[in-house]
Amino acid sequence: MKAVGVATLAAVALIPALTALAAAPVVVNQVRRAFSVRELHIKRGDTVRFNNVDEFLHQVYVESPTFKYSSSEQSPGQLVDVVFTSSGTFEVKCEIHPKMTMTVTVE
Amino acid sequence: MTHMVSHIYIARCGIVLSFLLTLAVFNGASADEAKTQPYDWAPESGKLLATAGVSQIEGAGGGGLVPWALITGYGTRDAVGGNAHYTFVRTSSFDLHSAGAALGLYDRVEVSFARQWLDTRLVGAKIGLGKNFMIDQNIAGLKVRLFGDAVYDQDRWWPQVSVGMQYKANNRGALLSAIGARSSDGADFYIAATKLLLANNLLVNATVRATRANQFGLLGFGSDRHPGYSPQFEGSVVYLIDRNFAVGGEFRTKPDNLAFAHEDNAWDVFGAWFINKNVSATAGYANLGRIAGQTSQGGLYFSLQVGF
Amino acid sequence: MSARKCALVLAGLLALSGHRANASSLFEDLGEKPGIERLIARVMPIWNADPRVGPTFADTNLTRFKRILVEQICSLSGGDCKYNGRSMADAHKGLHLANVQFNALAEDLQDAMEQEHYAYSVQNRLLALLAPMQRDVVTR
Repeated sequence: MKAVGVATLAAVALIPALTALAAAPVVVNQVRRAFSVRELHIKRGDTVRFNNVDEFLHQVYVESPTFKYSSSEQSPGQLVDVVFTSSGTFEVKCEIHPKMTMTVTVE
Repeated sequence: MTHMVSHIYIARCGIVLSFLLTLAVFNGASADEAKTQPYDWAPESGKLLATAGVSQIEGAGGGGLVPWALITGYGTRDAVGGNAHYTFVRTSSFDLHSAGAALGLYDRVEVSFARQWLDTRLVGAKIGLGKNFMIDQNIAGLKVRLFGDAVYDQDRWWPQVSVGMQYKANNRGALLSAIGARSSDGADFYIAATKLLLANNLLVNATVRATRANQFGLLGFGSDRHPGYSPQFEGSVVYLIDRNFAVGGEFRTKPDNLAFAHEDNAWDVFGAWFINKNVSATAGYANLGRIAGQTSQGGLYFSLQVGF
Repeated sequence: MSARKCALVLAGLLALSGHRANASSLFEDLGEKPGIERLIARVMPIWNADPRVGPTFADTNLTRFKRILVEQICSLSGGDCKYNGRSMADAHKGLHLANVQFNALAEDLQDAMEQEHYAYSVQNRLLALLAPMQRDVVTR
């Protein structure tokens, strides 16, 4: 009885770890008030990590009918992970710098 | 005759100084500053209006009578600023003039030069020296800001503090000896603390000066009775009426070394008009106390400063 | 001048300088949120036109900037807003501002405050709250 309980607990605990192992985040740097990559192709469920290596504050948002996301502001050095849960082509922008934009295509 | 020659000398000094100031301005600008200045050759003049004070009677940056901890000129810590001044005090028996120039370097160091001349008018005749007998002195000043920023430290209790020196050389050695002064030149050393209480529209300053000077040095330095230095206390309180106008009051204690010519504390009240960062005018009433046996000498104070 | 006269003059100046019959907060004296919004709307074009600081605002979302500035001044002056922005240091690091630019921002703000007819002492109370930011905003 006890052994089954422990096994179940172990299995449940491992699930998040297993999911994370599924795909490491794709890193996009925010640098010189621009994204380091202009176009990205990923699979549904993938994580994109936006890493602010710039001297400026940045932010990430997506405004589309099928996928909405808005991060809090990132100080220099802060990163934000975005999980793209919908398929499609999305424009990713920065609220602080209107000219800063990139495209993410999700399969 | 001698005072005519010295005025030509001042004019020449003025021209040389203006030239040097212009050179300093041109050399101060560099490609790196292109972002902060619209034109490479323009003086930065980045300090806020009135935050460099005016020129005090010995040529240092400060109020009318008292040197302050502020560095003269409108250059911020990244630049150089400078100015020339002319000051005139007309009391009942004397005219005191001062003219000079000063340079503020990177809001850290101030160098100044001023020439003072005391016109004894009829008193000169009365004491046998001749009508309009002039006593001149040259004053070279140096001031260094130690710590504090009067403008930005609005959330701190401590003031801006500077130390300074004024080396004075008087041209009337023989006369000064005769009246009991120990020497005809000397150096004053001072420490000044200035606090701008912006939320109260007030600037306050306290200065402590170690000096041997009699009547600012115009009657020599020290005496037989008091040959050495004594601490003197100086203060200014200025109320800001608006961006361009301030009114204030000051006082200075004096050592009263000479038995022949007792001296009193000096004080003034003034209004200062900061027309722009290039011109300011100050006018008021100054009381220099007794001078050379004459009763309390008070009268019009006027000063003009031009610079950048 | 006697010590007593000095004390009277000093007392008089201090009385002139700070005392208000009903101590209202700076937030009220600025006209609360609508007043601050008007002030920011007034100063923005002055900043943009000033060659010393105009280039700083290029490529910046001015709508967001104005909103954040209003929030900050509202909070600073005693209003009930919460400033949600990042630190002054983080926000200005990349701009490499020098004192001349910080002062230019203040001078232009003074112009805007005059145009909004704020009393000089109200202007100074606001500037007194903003001045210490020099330490974080100026990095050059």
